[in-house]
Amino acid sequence: MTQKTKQKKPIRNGKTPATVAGYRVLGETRDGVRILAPKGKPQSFTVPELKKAIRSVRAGKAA
Amino acid sequence: MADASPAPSVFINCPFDPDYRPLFEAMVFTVARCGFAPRCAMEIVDGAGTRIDKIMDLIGKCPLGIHDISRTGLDRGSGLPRFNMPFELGLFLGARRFGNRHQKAKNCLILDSESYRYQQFLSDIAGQDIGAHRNDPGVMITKVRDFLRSHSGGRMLPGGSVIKRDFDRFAMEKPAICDALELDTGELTFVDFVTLVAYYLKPDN
Repeated sequence: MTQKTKQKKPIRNGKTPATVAGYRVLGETRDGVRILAPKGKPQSFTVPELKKAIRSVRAGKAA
Repeated sequence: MADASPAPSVFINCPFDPDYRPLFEAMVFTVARCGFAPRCAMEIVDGAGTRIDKIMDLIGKCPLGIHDISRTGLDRGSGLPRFNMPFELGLFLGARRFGNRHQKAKNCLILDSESYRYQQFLSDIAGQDIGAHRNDPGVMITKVRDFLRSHSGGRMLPGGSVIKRDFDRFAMEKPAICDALELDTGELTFVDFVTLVAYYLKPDN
């Protein structure tokens, strides 16, 4: 019997580490700078709400 | 996969009032845009334990510090001087002087509004790396970027003009982002603002 293995979707290229000195790496800019996630949690919004707000502002600008 | 780079935490010691806000935002944005993590006593939510212990713990975790002593004048409301910034600068320098080898490797940038003004109220810090931002966010970006460049372990950082362009775009879009979040820009706490900057800079948002 073959066992199905769930493939994980890669979220970044192999060169970018997941963490730097305990900070989660959110991604890498085009000029090669790693953007780090803050340690604390925001008090006035959630991260999904923030992402949605940034996307909506950028979409509005692009339209 | 983890990276063994040196801890990228930068202790930020500056005021958090509306007059200083443009300089604060330029400083924090530059730290994040250069791949470092801004940390500040204002991220400490008072709970169990004393505030001073938490501030000292935070200073201990940060190999780099940026201290702005330009707003040490008298508070408009109370008429009393504001000592928190010189006090936290003293803690940072004390950690470097008396700490273990990690603490002795600490480095900091001290900023004031004008060159040599500090000699009139904090002359003991002469001989440190002290810069003048002239209350100009553009100058603040250059000073902070150049300081971080010299402590980036050889990593390439974007130039001051690139960071300034990105910051200007961010400053233009921030009110609309806050509107979408139904927040006043002045209501953002330190952690809120740092999170906003980090996810704004995150590619492929």
